[in-house]
Amino acid sequence: MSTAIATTTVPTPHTAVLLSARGLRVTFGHTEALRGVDLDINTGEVIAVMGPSGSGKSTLLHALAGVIVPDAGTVSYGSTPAETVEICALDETARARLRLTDFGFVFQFGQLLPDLSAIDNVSIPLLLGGMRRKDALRQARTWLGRLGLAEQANQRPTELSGGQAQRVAIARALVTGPRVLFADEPTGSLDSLAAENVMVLLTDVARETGTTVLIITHDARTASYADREIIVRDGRVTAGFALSASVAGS
Amino acid sequence: MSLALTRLVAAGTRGARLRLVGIAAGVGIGVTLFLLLWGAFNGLQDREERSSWTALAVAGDPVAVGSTPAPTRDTVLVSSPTERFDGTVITRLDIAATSDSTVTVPGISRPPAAGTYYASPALAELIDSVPANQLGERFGTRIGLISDTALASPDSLVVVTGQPAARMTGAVMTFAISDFPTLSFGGRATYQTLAVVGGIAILLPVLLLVGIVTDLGAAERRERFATLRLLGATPGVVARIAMGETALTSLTGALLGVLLAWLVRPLAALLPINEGTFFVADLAVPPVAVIAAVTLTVLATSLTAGYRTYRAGVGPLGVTRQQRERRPRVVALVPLTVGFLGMLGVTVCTLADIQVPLFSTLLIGGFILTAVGLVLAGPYLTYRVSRVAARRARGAAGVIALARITATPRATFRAVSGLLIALFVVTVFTAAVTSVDASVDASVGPGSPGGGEENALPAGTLLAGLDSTAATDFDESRALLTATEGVRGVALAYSLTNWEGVILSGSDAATLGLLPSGAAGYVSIDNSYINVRSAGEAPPRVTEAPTVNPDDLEPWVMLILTDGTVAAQERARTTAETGQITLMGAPASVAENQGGSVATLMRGFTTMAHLGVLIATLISTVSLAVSTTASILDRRRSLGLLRLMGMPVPTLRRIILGEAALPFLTVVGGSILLGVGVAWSLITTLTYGKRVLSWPEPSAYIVLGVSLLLALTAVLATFRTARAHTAVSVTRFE
Ligand SMILES: Nc1ncnc2c1ncn2[C@@H]1O[C@H](COP(=O)(O)OP(=O)(O)O)[C@@H](O)[C@H]1O
Ligand SMILES: [Mg+2]
Repeated sequence: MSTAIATTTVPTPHTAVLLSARGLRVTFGHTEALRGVDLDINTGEVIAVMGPSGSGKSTLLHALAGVIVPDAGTVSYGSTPAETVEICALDETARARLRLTDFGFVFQFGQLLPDLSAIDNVSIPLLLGGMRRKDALRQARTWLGRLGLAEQANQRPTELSGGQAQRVAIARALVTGPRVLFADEPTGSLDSLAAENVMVLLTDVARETGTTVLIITHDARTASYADREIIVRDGRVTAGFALSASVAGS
Repeated sequence: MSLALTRLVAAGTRGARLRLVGIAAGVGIGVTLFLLLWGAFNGLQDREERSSWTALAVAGDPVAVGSTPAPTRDTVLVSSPTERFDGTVITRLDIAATSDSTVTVPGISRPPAAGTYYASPALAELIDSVPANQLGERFGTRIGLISDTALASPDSLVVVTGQPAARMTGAVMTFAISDFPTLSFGGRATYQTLAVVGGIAILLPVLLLVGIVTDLGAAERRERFATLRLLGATPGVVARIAMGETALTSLTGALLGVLLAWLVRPLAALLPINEGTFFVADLAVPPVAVIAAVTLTVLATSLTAGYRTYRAGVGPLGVTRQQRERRPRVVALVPLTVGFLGMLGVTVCTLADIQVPLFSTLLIGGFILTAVGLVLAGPYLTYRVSRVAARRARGAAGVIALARITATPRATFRAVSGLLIALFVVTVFTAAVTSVDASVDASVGPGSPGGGEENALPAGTLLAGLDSTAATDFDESRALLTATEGVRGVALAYSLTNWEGVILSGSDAATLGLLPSGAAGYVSIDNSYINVRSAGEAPPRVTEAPTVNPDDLEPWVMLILTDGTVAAQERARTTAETGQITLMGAPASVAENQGGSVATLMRGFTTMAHLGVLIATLISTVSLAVSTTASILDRRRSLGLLRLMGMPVPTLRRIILGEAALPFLTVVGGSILLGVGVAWSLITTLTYGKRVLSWPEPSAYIVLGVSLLLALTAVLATFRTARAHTAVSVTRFE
């Protein structure tokens, strides 16, 4: 999979940059997880992040989403100069707030609360945002229906198949209407059929809603659903830089 | 291979090792407390047996009043008058024996000769620490100490004095005996009932703690067992590994517990229970019992662990069977109902004067059933309440916490059940301690010596009951007493056949301040003046006495007015006892006369209550902290990912608080009400309705508040752990 070739699908010239990283460095003890990453992500783009395991993909995602603060470098978020914020400069509370309102997350497994039904799981981000429970549940139901899970609304995660559970997770990530969806190997624990199914749904919904997607995957087929791929190797983005440079130059 | 596997599973990670340490510690504490309680129970029995020789009432019939049989070679005359010093009762045996007596007195080689005495070490120390005219002179010359083999406690105050046969007039019940009683008369059923109750109150939280601890890290372990199954282990092998691991761990814990119990025995012996501190040897537990305790503990914990693992149905791909708890059912309420109603039944029967066979056994049984029933009923009630609340929850924390409780009512309730049991027991004891003698005005507590404020008598007055049958020279005693430092006056109260009141000479009435000085003749006053504590502040009615012939007057009570200081009162007692008059026991204030047994019972209760509260609360607090932490760790991935998505830390705190608070609040009111009910039942039954409950003292509320504060602290302490374990850096490597 590390042989996957970086394709440079040139985006439409008018797209605005939504997330922009400059000189990101992250070290864990003696491990340099990111060694200077520059990356621009445009509004509405679906990006596949590939690379060998341990290369720094998850770290990059966390740094972009304000989950961790890089040791050096900046991440600015916003499509107009007026609304742009410097994520690394925010404190933990403000970053948590931003993640809740503007970002959505999907992980490989184990992200659903085992005691909650599918619909309750989906409603949690809305409740965290202060929405009334009734409205939250109505909205959650809509999203479950959209992902083909209307029947499973009252089932618990242990009663769902892996693919269904991932779709619930996607519903939960999208229910707040995030501007960016971060997905870390969302199909990593699924068989290829279920993985394809999930990818189709995810990309379809993202495109319908204009959500920007950053999706980490090992699977070239999964990656093919993306508008472009970037490759992370040894803590460096090998393909993205050239692309963003070309965007900047156009 | 199995051992290697066991090590792989058991000690693979830091979490797994911590879990083993937790199990060993929990089991260790349990075994320690069990052995100490067992020791204390045995000890109470042992010391009662050892000291039973002073209970003369079981020796046979007393000799007739007035008759003075002489001691023979193989019988002695014995009486046991009440003796007091500074509010404490001293066990006193007066013995008249021949010089060649063959009777052996326990703890002493031979009966003491007249004018000499043997004292227990504690009493000897007390005698030596105060001037002789306050205590020592009452007994004569000390010729030795009573040996520990005849004493209940190192603190026991016992004296055996030698008396001339002529003093044994029968004023105080006198017995002619050749053997001292060797068996207890079983008058301590109350204490044993309470000891068992207290023991259970402590052991129940311990069992709960062991249960919680052995269940730690369940989720993580299931994954590890699944890995083993994937590698080809059968369910039986997996269960056996779980068993072996738990057996080894709990054996280690139990042995440490035995060691700890042995080490803290000297400390535990210092606790004053019932009659005082313990001899360390009294707390010893027979080796057979120790072995049995260790074996049973190891068997119980390991079999439970094996069974649980087997039942969990761990397949190669994780847990196949549904891991959700069985839904609690209404039958869970049965033990509680039966236990409590049973206790009430026994009480009602007792009040109705219906003989209930084995009532103390029934009471203990009822109590156990009620306490255990509370633990069993809790999950059901919690489940019901959480179901209703879950539908109405608004915030994310509420939804998450309530869903958790509804899905695992047993586990969530178990976290707080120890605390609720502790609270239940606290209430039982607190309420029991408030019990007051229904026949006495509740506004008057057991008084200090010379509790004059509660009585119309002048403050510091001591009353000495007189033996009217003995010809006595009162003038001599009166003169001696009046000359005693701190004594302000002496009066003699007479009784008169067919006359209700107490007769006083006019001058004595003046001494008592009832008449102006210089009064003459005789007056009569209310009986209650000298024998009812709550006689009120109003001066007693002094009426004219019937025309009396002084020869018809029977000396009844001598009233000694002191300045109220301990020294003066004790000097007065000493003078009165060593004078020519024959007393019916040591002179005492009205409060002392009536409050003695009440005060003793109170002290017994209070010590046990405080002990029980302390231990039970501490253990329960540990339980709460452990299981709260465990429940967060079991979900650390999903909660951690929620935090990553932006769930603020306060929400996490609210989840933790909610999961502890709901089961607690659901049952707390019931626990307290049940506690009061049980206390009422215990006290009423054990005292045949002679005592009633009243409001607890402020200190009880403080204890309650502190307990709750401790619990809250336990929960708050888990916040840090929860926050740390759901942090991004931890979550991403799960
Ligand atoms: N919290 C952490 N502590 C220590 N090392 C870490 C931590 N997070 C990541 N690393 C290290 O950083 C490197 C990149 O990790 P990661 O971003 O998870 O890689 P990927 O997602 O591409 O597999 C790896 O060598 C990993 O061991
Ligand atoms: Mg990764």
